[in-house]
Amino acid sequence: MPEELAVRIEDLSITYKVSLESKRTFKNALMRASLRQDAKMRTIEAVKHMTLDIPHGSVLGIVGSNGAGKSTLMRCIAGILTPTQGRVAVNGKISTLLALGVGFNPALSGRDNIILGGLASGLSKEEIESKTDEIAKFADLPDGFIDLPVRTYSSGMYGRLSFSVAVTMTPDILLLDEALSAGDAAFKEKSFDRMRQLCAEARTILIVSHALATVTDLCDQAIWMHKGTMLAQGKPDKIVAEYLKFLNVGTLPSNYEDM
Amino acid sequence: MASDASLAFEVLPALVTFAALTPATTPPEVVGSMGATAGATTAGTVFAFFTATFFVVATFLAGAFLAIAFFTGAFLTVTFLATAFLATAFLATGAFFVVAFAAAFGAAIALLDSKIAGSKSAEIKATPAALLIHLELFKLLTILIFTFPNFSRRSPARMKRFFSPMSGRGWSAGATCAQICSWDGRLTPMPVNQDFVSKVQVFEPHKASLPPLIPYIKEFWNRRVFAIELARFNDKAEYLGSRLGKVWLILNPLLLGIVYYVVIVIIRGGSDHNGLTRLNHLLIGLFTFYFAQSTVMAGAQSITLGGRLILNQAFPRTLLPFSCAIQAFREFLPTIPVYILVLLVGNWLSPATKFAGVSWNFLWIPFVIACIALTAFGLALLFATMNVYFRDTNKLLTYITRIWMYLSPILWLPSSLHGKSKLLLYINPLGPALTGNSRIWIDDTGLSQNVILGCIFWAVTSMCVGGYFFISRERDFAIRI
Repeated sequence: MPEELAVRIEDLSITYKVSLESKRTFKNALMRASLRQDAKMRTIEAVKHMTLDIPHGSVLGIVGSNGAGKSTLMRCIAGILTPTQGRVAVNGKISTLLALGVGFNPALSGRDNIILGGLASGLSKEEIESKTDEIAKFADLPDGFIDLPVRTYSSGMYGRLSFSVAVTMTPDILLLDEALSAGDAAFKEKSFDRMRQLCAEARTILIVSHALATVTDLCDQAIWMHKGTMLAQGKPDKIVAEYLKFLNVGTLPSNYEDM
Repeated sequence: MASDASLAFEVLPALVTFAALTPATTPPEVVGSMGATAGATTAGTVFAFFTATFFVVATFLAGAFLAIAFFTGAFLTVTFLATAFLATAFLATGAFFVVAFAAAFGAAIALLDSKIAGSKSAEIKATPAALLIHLELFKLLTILIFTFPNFSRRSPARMKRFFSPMSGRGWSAGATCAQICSWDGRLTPMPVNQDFVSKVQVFEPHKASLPPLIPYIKEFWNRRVFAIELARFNDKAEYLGSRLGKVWLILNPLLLGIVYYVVIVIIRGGSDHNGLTRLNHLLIGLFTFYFAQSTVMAGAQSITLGGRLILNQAFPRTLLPFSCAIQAFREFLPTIPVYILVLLVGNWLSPATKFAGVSWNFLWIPFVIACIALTAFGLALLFATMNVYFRDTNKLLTYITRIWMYLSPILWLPSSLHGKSKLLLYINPLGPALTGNSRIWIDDTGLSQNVILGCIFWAVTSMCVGGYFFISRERDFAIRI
């Protein structure tokens, strides 16, 4: 793998089976087996034959409608889901922000949750403890809230805290899934600044977003995913324009129909 | 914990009845025949219960059909005939299997009872434990019988395939997935730009069922602080709001121990020559068993409850059950001083109480506790995996742990088993460890060779089996949560 690449995806396919049963229980399995029924399963091809190189220092935006496989791709890069076919190589430490407040315990204080969230994402205890104040400062919660239970927070405050935990990690590769919507306008500006700073430090960021302005503002590369395949790759302006056209017209551009 | 309290109230009446029926002075042969009678009664009760159930269902169906026919005013005769036919058929097929099943089951129980009664001991057969085991077996049987009639239509080959752990449909629904999509956690150091951590991770499908174990264990070790802190914070969160806080951790098993003591010793009218020795045996057994039980029960749920973490972070999944084991251990530790306090007070109240004093034998305790922890952790891994595929494993587990407790030398003394029935101690994964534990604390004797070997055997077996099941399937968890 060349050194300048952060992520290399080669012919990646991710397929999984989901059960159509409401709940998978031993009783159901026993009944089904005894009645000679097959389990009702459906195969979902979330990502199909995708190849992509992401160099270090790039900010990649991923756009696409719901169910396009964006989150599955992110989870695969993070090592949570496994490829069915192909290969993903990742060069560097990954931090993920795929959902807000992962590993948080609502009954505990913000300070405790910073430690919990940091440990969950793989930091050592010393590292996270030395950064607790910095994170609390970045989250910029109202007076005294950092020592109150997280369940008393507003959803915006909750989002800010968990966003702060993820970006203060100084990861090499940051995966963000719809997380920039956390907080108010002031905090959004602050988080944009922080992302630009991370980019300036030549870190790699992957952003999944439906807020297309975010993609054009922050990213220097973008891809458009549709039903598991990558339709286009290029400059964010161009990709977003094409994606918008598709959204308005409702059909794929003619030059993509073969794919 | 709450379910355990309810358990005490649930079994209490049964215990009292049984205790009243079986005075401590009953000669062995009478108790033996009682055991056989209990077996026959088992069959009878089961039969009556199921006949009644089928009857009620059939009557209900008939009633419903008749009501519909009455209100619509049409097809009255046809509906009535159809219903009657259906009800009879239902009753007949149901009754046939129930009779067969109950007869076989009753015979087995009667055989088991007569075996136990045949041994020299007067202890086990007179304890309520035997009855409780029957009660729990009833419940399991209930579940089995409801699914049994369907099995008659299956060919033997298919039955075999279903029950075979690795190849059957029920069990291996995930196996194909696990085989094709799994992540390879190989970490190959590679010189890259100094700004970055020089580590390349490669994720690709691989054929082997287990990931490379050495990197896995390294990663587990690196992340151990996460599990320890998770346990600490969960503990903190759980007892934050409650006024008595952690006192409940001690009060709950203590009260339950006293309830059992009242039932076993006082209500049965048995005179204990050794003062409160029996209470001490019961308490140390219960405290230790609770440590194992909460490791298994909480660990089994940790994966299904930790869905958000599993979907959004990559880490060795064994850390979640491990964290539960640590939490169980943290809750177990404060019960030891309580036990010692009870021992001292008991000795002061009734000097006949066996008092071990302090000796070198106590150095065996860390060994015993470690074996119990490993055994329980292995079982937790096994049940956690099963719980991902079958979400009702947890319900089944409540019955399994109860039977397990009655089969363990807690309510009865290990010394009451003789001859072949001593095997009961070694079939039970916690049997040797709990026997050894009680010997050290109560009798102040070291461990026998058999007990040591038994402890090690179960710790290793359970870790290997549980670990294999869990680790080979954990890469599949994220898509099944």
